[in-house]
Amino acid sequence: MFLNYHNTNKMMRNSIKNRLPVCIFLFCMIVSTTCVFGQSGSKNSKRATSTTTAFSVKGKVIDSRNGLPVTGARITYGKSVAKITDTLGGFQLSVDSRDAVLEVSMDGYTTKTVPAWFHKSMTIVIYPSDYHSFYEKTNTVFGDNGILKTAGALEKKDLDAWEQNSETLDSYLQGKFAGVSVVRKSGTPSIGASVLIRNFNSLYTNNQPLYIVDGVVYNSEIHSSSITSGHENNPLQNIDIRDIQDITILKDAVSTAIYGAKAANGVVVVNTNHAKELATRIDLQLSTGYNQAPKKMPMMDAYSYRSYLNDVLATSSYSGDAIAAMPFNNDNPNYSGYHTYHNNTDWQKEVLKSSIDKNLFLRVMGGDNIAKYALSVGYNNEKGIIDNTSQDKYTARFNGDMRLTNRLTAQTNISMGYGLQKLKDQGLASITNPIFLSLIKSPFLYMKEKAADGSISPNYADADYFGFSNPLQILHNGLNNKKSYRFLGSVVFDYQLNNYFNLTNLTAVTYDKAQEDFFVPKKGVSKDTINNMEVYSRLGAQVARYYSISNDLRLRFNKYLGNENNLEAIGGFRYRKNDAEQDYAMGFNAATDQLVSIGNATAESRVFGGHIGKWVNMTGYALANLTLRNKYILNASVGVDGSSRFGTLAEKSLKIADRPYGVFPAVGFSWIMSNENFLKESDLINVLKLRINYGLVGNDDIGNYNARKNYISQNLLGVQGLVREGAANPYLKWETVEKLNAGLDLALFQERLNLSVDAYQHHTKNMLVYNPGNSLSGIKNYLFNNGSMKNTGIDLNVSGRLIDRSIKWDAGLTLGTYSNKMTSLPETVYIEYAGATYITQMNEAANSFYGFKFAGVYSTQVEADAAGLGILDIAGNKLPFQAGDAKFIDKNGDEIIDNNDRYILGSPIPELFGGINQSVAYKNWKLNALFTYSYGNEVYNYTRSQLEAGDNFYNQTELMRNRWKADGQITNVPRVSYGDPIGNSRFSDRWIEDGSYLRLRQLSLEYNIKVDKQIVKYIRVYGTANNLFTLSKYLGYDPEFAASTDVFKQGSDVTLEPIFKSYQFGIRIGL
Amino acid sequence: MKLFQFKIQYSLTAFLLGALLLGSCKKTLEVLPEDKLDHTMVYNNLADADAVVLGIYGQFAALGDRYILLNELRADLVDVTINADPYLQQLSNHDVKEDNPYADPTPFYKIIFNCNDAMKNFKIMADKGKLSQAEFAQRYSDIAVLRAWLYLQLGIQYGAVPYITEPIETVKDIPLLNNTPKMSFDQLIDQLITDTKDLPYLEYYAYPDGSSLNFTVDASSTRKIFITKPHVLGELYLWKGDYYQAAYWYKRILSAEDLNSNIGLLYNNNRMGWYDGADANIQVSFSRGQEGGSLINSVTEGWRSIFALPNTNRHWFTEWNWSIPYSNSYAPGNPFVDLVSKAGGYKIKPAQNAIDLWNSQTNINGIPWDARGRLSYQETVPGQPVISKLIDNSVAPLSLLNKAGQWNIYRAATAHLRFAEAANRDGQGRVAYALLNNGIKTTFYYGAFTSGGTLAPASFFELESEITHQGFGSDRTTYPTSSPYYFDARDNDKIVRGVWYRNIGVRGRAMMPALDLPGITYGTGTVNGYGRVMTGFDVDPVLLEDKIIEEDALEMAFEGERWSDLTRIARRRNDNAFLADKVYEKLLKAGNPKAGEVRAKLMNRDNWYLPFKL
Repeated sequence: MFLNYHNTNKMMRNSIKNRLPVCIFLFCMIVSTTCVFGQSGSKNSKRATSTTTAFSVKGKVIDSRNGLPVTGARITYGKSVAKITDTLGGFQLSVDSRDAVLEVSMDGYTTKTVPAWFHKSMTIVIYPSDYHSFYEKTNTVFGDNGILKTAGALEKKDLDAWEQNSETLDSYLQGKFAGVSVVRKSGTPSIGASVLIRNFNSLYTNNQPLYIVDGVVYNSEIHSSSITSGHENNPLQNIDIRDIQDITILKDAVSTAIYGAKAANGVVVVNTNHAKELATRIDLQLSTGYNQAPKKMPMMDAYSYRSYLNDVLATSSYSGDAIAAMPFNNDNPNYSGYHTYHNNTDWQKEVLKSSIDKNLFLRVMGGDNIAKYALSVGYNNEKGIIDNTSQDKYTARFNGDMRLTNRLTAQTNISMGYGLQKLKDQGLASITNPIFLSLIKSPFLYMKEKAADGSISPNYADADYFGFSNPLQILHNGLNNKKSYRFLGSVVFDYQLNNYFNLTNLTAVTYDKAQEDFFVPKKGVSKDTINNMEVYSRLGAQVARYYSISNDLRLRFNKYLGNENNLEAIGGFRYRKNDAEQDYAMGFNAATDQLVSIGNATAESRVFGGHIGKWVNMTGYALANLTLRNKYILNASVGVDGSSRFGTLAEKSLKIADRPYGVFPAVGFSWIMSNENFLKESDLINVLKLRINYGLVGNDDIGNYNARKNYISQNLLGVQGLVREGAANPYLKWETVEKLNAGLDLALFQERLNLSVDAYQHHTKNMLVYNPGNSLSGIKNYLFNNGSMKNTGIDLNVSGRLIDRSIKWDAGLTLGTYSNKMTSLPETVYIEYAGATYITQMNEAANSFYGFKFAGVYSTQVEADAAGLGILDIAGNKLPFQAGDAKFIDKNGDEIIDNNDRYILGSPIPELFGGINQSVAYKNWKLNALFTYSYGNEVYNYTRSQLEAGDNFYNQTELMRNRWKADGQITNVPRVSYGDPIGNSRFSDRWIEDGSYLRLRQLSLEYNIKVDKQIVKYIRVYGTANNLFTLSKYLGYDPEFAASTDVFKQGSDVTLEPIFKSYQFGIRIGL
Repeated sequence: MKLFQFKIQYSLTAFLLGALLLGSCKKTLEVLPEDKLDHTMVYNNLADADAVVLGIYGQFAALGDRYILLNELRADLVDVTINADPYLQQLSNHDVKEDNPYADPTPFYKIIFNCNDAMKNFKIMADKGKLSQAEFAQRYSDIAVLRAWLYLQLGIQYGAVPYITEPIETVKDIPLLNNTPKMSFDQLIDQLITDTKDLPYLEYYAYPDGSSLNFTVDASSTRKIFITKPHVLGELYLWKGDYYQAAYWYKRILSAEDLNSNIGLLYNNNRMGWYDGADANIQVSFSRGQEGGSLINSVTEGWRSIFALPNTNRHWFTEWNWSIPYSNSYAPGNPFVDLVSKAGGYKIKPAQNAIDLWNSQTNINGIPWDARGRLSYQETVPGQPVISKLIDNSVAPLSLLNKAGQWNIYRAATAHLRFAEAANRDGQGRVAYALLNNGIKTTFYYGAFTSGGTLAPASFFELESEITHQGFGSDRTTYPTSSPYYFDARDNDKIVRGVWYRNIGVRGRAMMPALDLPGITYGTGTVNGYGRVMTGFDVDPVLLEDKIIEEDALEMAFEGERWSDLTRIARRRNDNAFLADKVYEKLLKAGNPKAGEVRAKLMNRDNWYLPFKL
């Protein structure tokens, strides 16, 4: 035996868990071998209809849409009995088992499997295939290909996403699946979203789901950061969602364990369109869109700002005379700078502008008996609402299906994406973020130069008196360009060995490249000091690339075992090699603002960098799906995962040829109660199914080389030497998430109402956490697999058809809620981001805001003195709070406001989130509405913390007019104070806001024009409104944002391009 | 059916075999990093070994500010400014809390970690023949002595510390280190001496001519970047109280170039000599003899230029023995700009105590101050003196935009004064006195003078009195040439010039008069009563030691020696007040209300040490 189960833990505590994977592996092996050697008997295992009693079944099939009988529906039982319904929808047949299940199918309708009734006539309602149903088929690798016959927690949606654009796969998932939290990163086209399936299961590693597109792992991780601040190059942008046929979300362990160490965050299975018919079909879509600039933040006008500015200056080290002599305080119209400093500019209006989109999409499908194809091309010209930003995106896809012989088929899926994006810095880039600049920039300045006589020059003005950049220089003379490419090609061969076995091989290649360059001009931009150098203009270029090749060889077995028992089993082996590289160059101080490429930076200022990462995965997997009497379903799956990333001494691992392998077993059991005799003839309940499953999945995002002993470069002057890269961690291994899931599926009233509830618990073990090092090692902290945390939650999905007459009204609700708790953590973690502190501590949810509690402003000096609070200055002397200062709650009562007085101020994790879907169809009209909501999450408004701090020369919001100015004034806004020595604007609940919202995410109306079907199949015109309204108390532009998918950057509004309203109008033509 | 069965079984077997084949191929999952080096790619040849040495010194370069702060701010010559953060104030007030980042020993151990790794692997390389014995000896000894220096610093600052000499292989070793017992400072000194004295290569230059580690990069030479091993041994023996050995090792530095045919090095390197040439002079000098205002206060000439010249300058080279250059283009960059300059943080400044000390001296020409003060700090804004010694640069002024310059550690004056300290305690006070004051010749000469007071030996016998000896006049015994106290300063351009003929002593170079100490008697020269010769030397060694320590302050203030000088003497004399009083005086002069409290604290030796945070 080549298996050598490695367990250094002498305790037998884990013995059962340790044996479980072995048992499952053996189970799968035995299943496979039984099948092989059981072949000789297979000819005897035909359904023995003649030897047992026959039961007679009769009934009729009814169309859900009009209640009329369906003629020509196929009723099949096993492989030998098939009937077609008559003109009255009736059928009659006989079956040989009391547990018989009939399959009812009809083109354009979801195929149903219903238990046969013997005591009365059956009434079977079938629904068109776009109706959400538990009978839907899924196209994942998992067994039966039907939601009903798995013990897993999975959810499927068929897509017909023609009416939407400006969406990427990740953002498109929002509101549609229970327990899948989707937070769009910003309003920038194609930027994507942070997608968490049942919350994050890891603190420091990837927490985004695994995407499988047409059976291939679609690498969606961001391996290289963008050189444009606040931007991320989203790999999912290269999938046009109009190419997607269906999406299935796998949330639990048993349905994902075959993806082993990549499955911890759940799996999103995507299938793209393949031709289903031989007839040629052409679909064309043309659309245009209007993006509406967001509602402006209420900033102070020139008059209020000047008053504020002089107040702040008065608290700085400038003398009164010096302040009075400043040019903006000179109101003499003959003064040469008068016109420069006497304007009232609305900077937001200049930066945030409405824009127009253009889209085109064409798809051709067809073929013959031998080969079918689906070819699509798309062009999207999408714009954001930052002026002068845009994206030109081209996608092409060719999906082919070939029948090479009776037994051998081949499939190719080839896609290419190219995007050219004009961007601007966003987020924490106070010198170059045009949105931020538009907020803080003084309104008494003008965007262009003005002469002494007031005439306006065509040139944009330089950086201002205080050195703040002119956002229009950045918009019009700065560059942040990105060209991204992705090629994904795969070939699948499927060979039917016999009735029971087929062998599939899938080979895929991914090539991804993103080329970026940026230029920040000298004129109009604050100078800076970087690397001991005065910096005027900034230049940069980067190439990031990713390449992977993978192969998946799979043997599938499917056999009816008699007596209404069925077994499916799959064994496979997957190999994947990945190669990522990033190379960048930065430089400064080009001779002029016309020399924008990196070669023009001064030689001594150039900095180069990047990384190279390669990794290899090898996974053996097996799964089995045993259905007993059509009622009891037993699922088992196991992935045995090896990776070049795992340390050679990884504990509790399977050792094969001295390399550690993670073993990820899972089992599930499901009971279709509605197929039981006592329930199957119920008029009320159509489906009642209980599911429970348990298993382990892993996360291998532990760094490519962290488990190795490495030496890194250390310079001595300009020569490079070598030093150890800390202590090696050959014990480094995957994180393990133990998932327990119990669910119930219920369909009532002839499927008019469908309900799924899942309760789950995820227990992340071996979680990578930072452990404190010690002085003696010279190592401050190191990563080790010794943390753990728990997520428990509930998913609910309710959907149904409310009205089913001439008006059809479908409604759906998804709801997710979860709670997170750290169960093992070497030390409390404090993370600083954008001035906020996040705390992660034992027995609490990870990543909560941790700061001071603000309780108003001291109105009078008497009040301040009476409170007796103060802070310690750097010398340790107490500085008392004065009238006009913020009142902070002195948690420990020592009369000193310091870090010991911080509270947990809230969590970015919502209490409830999900979506509400409404769909109404009437005659040729179709109306769809999707609402999304998030409830109970707190967010940190960093932007506002800059705009109401009152401690520098930034323009402020109108609220600052209420700043405390005189003793006795009652207000909630502290006094202004340059540099804020007492810390009035420190991180406190003043900046924490309720992030709850309810949003009409999408509203679309489509009209199907009557046409002559001989010439044109259809013509549809439609209009879509996105983000039409948002109910929220949030004071920023928009309550939805994510600076990245990093756990520790959630919930902080760092001045990203806000999500905006947009409207599309389009036409679709089918030929 | 048979055919099918065959097919199935064949396919299955092929499938399983394929899986096994790939699975068992161990190399498939073995992926080596490309933007760093796998451990198997290091320590394979001489270039690897050199890279490791350079890497360690690269890390070491980042210790500069910590070294200065711990050794100067805690002692009596440097004080905090109003800009100093509470942690610096803690250092100055001897009230250091465990969370004080300056008191964190981690940066020392981080380098020790790499030293241990390098030493272990150099041995393996030598065993496998990947390094020649000579290559091994030089590199191994260099890193071993650097590690000893780091441990000596840890001992001086923390008292008892864990002595770790094995490399850390995996993260599981990290928590185990917490159990390492601490070694007392006394034990540590013994251990360090044991571990260094027999190292295979203890020459003055870490790497001989032609070594692959000697090269010039970014306008800096690497020649004196590597630690001066005899200096560390000398210091260890001083701490140990083995003064003869201490003198022996310091003498190894002083006489390092005794055999060099290059006259510039032969007569100048570590000789504390006189004005050598017009291109640069590293003595205190005035353009007009008795006029204080004419002091040569320049970063390109005079005594101040010692700290400002590039390490490729020949005068720099004769003075400095160990110095780490910084470059503005590469990390870490000069850390002192932030620490001491006005453009930077201006966090520390010369203590009033130090300024007063310089100003209480009288120059040989009667100028009422010691010029070395004005050449060590600049006071362009009254009341805000800036330690210029740490940020002077003759190539281009240092600023926040030019963080070049050097971290200068050991130089000729350091070796002279340390040698004097050892010789004095070894009963060779007169030799010590000579090096401290105005040189060998003036202290030992017995013979004729001209009417102008110039030495004019009338015979070989008189000329030979310029070689150090015991006894006086004609009744003298010259030290044997093997003795560390043998200095040949014979000066006759026609007959012979001893290698020390240019020596003018530490004070002599600073234009300071020889100290007039009780116990020294003088007579006249042998002809016509011209001149003055020493006729008796019976100076109390404690008094002379006091003077040496005071000279340490005048000459080497702000260079990072002070705390160890004070604590070493206080330990030697078992007199805690020696340290406590000096720190007290600094704080008192600065008007620090905690002066008394600090003095009381320092009277207890346990309070000399920083808290050791594990």
